[in-house]
Amino acid sequence: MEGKRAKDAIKDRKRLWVKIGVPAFLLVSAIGIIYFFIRSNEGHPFKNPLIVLAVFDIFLLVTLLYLLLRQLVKGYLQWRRVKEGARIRTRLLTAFVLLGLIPSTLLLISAVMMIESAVDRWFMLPVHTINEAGQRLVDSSLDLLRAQSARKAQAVSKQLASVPEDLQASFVSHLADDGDMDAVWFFDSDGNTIFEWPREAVKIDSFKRKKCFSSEGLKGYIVLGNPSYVLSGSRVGPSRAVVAGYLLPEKLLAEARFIAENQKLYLQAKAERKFFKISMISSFLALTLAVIFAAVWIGMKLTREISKPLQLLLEGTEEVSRGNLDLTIPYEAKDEIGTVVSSFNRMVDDLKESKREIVKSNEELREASEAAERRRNYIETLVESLNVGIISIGREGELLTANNKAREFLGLTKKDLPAKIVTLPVWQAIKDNIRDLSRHPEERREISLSQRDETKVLMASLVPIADPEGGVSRSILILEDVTDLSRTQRIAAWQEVARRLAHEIKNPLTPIRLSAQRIRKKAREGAGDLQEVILEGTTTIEKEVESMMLMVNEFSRFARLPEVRMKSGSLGELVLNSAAPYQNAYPKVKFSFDMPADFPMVMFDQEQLERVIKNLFENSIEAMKMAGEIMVSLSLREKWAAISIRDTGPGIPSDIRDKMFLPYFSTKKKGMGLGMAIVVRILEEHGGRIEVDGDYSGGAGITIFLPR
Amino acid sequence: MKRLVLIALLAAGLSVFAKSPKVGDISCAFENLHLFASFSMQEGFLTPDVLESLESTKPTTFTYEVEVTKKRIGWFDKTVLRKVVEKTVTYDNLTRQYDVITILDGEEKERFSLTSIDEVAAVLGGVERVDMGSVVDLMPGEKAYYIRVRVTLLKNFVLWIIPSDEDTGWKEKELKTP
Repeated sequence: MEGKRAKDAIKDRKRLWVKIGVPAFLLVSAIGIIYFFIRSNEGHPFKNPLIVLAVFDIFLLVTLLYLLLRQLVKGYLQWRRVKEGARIRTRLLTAFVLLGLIPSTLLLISAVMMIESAVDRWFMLPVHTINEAGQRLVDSSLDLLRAQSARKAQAVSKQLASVPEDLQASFVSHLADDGDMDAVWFFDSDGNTIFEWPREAVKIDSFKRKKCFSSEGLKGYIVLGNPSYVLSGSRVGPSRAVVAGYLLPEKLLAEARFIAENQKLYLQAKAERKFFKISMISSFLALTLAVIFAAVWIGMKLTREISKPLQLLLEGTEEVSRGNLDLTIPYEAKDEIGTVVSSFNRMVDDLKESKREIVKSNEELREASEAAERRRNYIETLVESLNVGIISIGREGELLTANNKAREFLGLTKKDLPAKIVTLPVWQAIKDNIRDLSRHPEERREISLSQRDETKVLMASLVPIADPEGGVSRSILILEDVTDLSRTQRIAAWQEVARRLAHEIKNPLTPIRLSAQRIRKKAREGAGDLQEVILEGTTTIEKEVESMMLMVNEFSRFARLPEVRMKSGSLGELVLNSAAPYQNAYPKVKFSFDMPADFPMVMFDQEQLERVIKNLFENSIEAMKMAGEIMVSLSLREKWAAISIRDTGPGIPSDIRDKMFLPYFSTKKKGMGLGMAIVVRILEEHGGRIEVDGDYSGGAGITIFLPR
Repeated sequence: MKRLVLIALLAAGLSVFAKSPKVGDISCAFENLHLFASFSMQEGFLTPDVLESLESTKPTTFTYEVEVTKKRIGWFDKTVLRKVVEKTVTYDNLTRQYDVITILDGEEKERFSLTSIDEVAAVLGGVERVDMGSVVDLMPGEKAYYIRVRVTLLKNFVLWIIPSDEDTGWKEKELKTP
């Protein structure tokens, strides 16, 4: 930018020299030409102003041509280089020049034509004829005197020819005395005056003297002076001549002089009409050139004034487009262009500010991106090093990525992904297993994978990832190796079952053993109450065996829960069907239902869900001691279909609300405490849940939630 | 517009070239080691413009330039002798006489009056025996020198603004020095 300014400054200096130098050169040249012409035309003073005008015209013309040519060449070069603002400058200048040139030229042409015809008209035939007539009048008046003098000269010449040479002077003197002539000159061929009268009236020059000796003689020469004479001369013999002079009458001379002077003016004007025309045309041309020059100059100035800010704007725009925002267009004006320029400067400042902010944002973004990259790398490393398998799955269920552990589970390397995995049978099995999980993201599912004679138990959970539009674009499948945990849990479960079974079996076994021992003792003793003891003992044994049978049945039922078979159905119908047997069996228990007719169909296993509802009804009936009211209602809560069952019993104590769904927990004297555990398991199989209705205080309230 | 410009240029061209007077024969004589040059104008040199100028009562000057020039190869020729004769004619419409003044190299030589235009034409139509000066310094030999004559008749303007002398142009003749 600084370099460009320095170059511009040098260019400006050069331009200034050209601007001063060229006109100065032209001016000096013009003065020189004028001086030369004036010097070379000293004998023609009238023409000097014409030459001054002519040189002035030429000077203007050359200057104008120089200006136009310079602008033309400059404009053409700039046009070719597609320099900023060149085209509009050329157009504007052309318009201004034409605006000045066309009317001025037309005016000049009209003026030239008018001057040509008007000046010629001044010297038309009538005027010329009148002047000629006046001249003829003068001439005819003078011609009489000329003829008279000529006749007299010839007469005297003849008379003298007959007089001896030595008496000729006396004879001439005698003639002069007679008054026939107003003046007389008698001289020889050598130029010697023999006689003249009156003395030195007029000098007869050598030309006239020679003329007298010619064959035609001297005829009617008028010599103006004080007084004026008409002279005629004739040869006298071979070597002498006489000139007779007659005075011009003063009055006639005055009249003739007056007419002649006017005629002279006319003749001079006529002869100089060409120069008169030239002077007028030259003046008009000078005026026209001055007007055109002014138009061009004003046009150039206006063009520069208009185009300069435009050029600056264009250059500025170019600079801005190149990314240079450290510029301010140095142009201040209160006109519209000034407003545009100041708006441009403001815009550049705003852009600069925006750019700074963008750079700052970019820096922050870059830092954030780097941080994100670091975080991503960290997460990737973390994910890779996690002890759980993580697989990302696309919208269509295709595999996208898998971490180290996942690849290990699937028996793949990093290079195998994703092409190979889709062909693996095991992947198909996983996909089948997790298909339902996409609908129940909160569920987890155990998947057994058999790879190389090894069976792994994986806990699969699917986490959907929502895209910005709210849909699910991909999911994350988390596979947790629970083989060991499952084994431990199974062992623990079996241990628990064994412990429970042992405990439950041990409890009835004690009274059985005691009864058996008592019967043996009584039998050994031969006691009289043996029969009674037998009866009593067998009753006890039977009762305890029955209890053991009941326990075995319950275990059996818990263990034998079949897999849920989901089917679309009406929850209302299910509730009514489930309640029907209890309505008949317990007349003191009142059932009331709040079930909307347009309640949507829901996917569930008919048989198992009926077992759940019946279990809950039985609990309520038992709690109400076979009398009370059971209120059933259906409702939609967000993504859930809810079945609410409320009774008018004593309600559920708060201290057991957390434990009541655990296996083997029971408040009843009879029972293994597996009923609610079964309910929970069935609901989990459905992707649902069960909650205690904490808001209800009129008894016990339980709500079952099923996915819609 | 184009037509007007063409007509103007044509008119200007015609005015300059169409009826331009010409110098006729040039004759030289060597007498007493002096060169005397004589020449005449071709017929028709009194053009209407010249005649009008002569009758205008304003002085009309014919300038006769006579030069003896040495030829030089590859460079401008050198003028070795030069004489300028000016004949100024002023018509007096009262006396119907033409006053003639002859000037040789700025010095008046003769002054006289004529009574007819024919006499004037005779006077202006040539120069008789103008003494060009001594030829002692001239190298003898053929084709080394030439004499040339130009007559300027009127001051004029081309295209209204360009001053231009109406002249005959230079008429040249080989000069055989003795």
